[in-house]
Amino acid sequence: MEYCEICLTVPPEALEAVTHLLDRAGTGGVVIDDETAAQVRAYLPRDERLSGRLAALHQDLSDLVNFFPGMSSWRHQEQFVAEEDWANAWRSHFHAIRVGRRLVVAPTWEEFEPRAGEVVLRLDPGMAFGTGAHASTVLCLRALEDMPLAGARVLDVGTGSGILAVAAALLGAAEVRALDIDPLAVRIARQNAEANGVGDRVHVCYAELRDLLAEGLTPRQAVTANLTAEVLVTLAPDLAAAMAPGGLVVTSGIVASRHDAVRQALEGAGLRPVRTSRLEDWLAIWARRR
Amino acid sequence: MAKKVQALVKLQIPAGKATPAPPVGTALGPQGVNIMAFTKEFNERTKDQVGLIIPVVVTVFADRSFTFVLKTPPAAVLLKKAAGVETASSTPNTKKVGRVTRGQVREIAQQKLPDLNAVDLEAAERMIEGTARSMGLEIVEA
Repeated sequence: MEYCEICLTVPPEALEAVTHLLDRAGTGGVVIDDETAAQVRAYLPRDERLSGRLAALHQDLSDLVNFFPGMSSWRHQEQFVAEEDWANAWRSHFHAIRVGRRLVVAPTWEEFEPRAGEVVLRLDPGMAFGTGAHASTVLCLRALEDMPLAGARVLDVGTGSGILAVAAALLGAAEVRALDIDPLAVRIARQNAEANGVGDRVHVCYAELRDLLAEGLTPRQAVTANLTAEVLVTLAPDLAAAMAPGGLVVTSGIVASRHDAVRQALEGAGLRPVRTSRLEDWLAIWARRR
Repeated sequence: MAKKVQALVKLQIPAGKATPAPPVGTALGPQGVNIMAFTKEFNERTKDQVGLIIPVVVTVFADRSFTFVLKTPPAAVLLKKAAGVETASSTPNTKKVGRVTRGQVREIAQQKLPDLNAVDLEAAERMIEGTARSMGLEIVEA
């Protein structure tokens, strides 16, 4: 089926009246762009009723001049748009990405033949996250590749899609505890762990780190915290408390200008910064517990 | 992790009944947004308001993740409620279907002001008043 796209330019004060008329005309919704001028787009199916519906709509819109003098200059443009598979079209934006030496993030619907030694992480983009290719996430994924994860207990603070927790499990961690304070993220992270066959080793909790510590968390050999500089500064003592002696934390999501603040907070918590990695404007600071 | 905003998309769509068809598909598809994820979440959050059109602002980030906020119902919905009428007049010049007080107009203008591009309350009131008249609602003083 084709649609007739109706694009209207109207005076801003008439916007609410115009969207009401479009709704009444059976458009099933509108898109509004009122940043510059008030522009409204709406759609009607291209069928035998279209010309009648358009004529009635044009008449109603013209009549609005009786209530909004500015409507004397309303403009309209119509064009036909072909039916597309809108539900799936967005998928063309997502493809497998090699994020480091071994890790590949690939959407679940894409065929992907890994090379020898490559580890494929399957993710479906949803609301809470996109491609998993944000610089701060890539820095953490690369760090995970370099950490001795085999048999390790791992903690991922602010897990979001669960991408880091799942990667840690795929890279050999014995047990991963992931947490987030967003219930939607917790749900999605659990789905992603299941989808990658590591649901039994990745435990996602809807909690803050201090709650977990209060319950008596087994010390962690590796910790990832892809957050923001501000949150990292506050969390530094809790991160240190969660770590086993000699354990390693990767803090990420740090804009370059906030490096010193995070570094000082980590040191203040008894952690020794051992490496800073950078991608674009983003930094990750690695620190070891003495 | 701070995220870069790629686009803000303003929609008005039926509560609980959003589909990937236009306008949702044509507005969000080119942004690379997972449309089914959007419609599912939107319908879930608006299921108690089926029958109403709900304004929603979708923020799309550079990594194509997104979030959205629901806004106050359209002026027409609030006006119909205030006037206690089901449908607006199709010939508002000649056939009046109800009335709202100036106080109600002001109240609606205040409620809508944060979501309107109107510069001030007075402009918002004019907008609501015009909308009311265009629906065949009379404005009465009290």
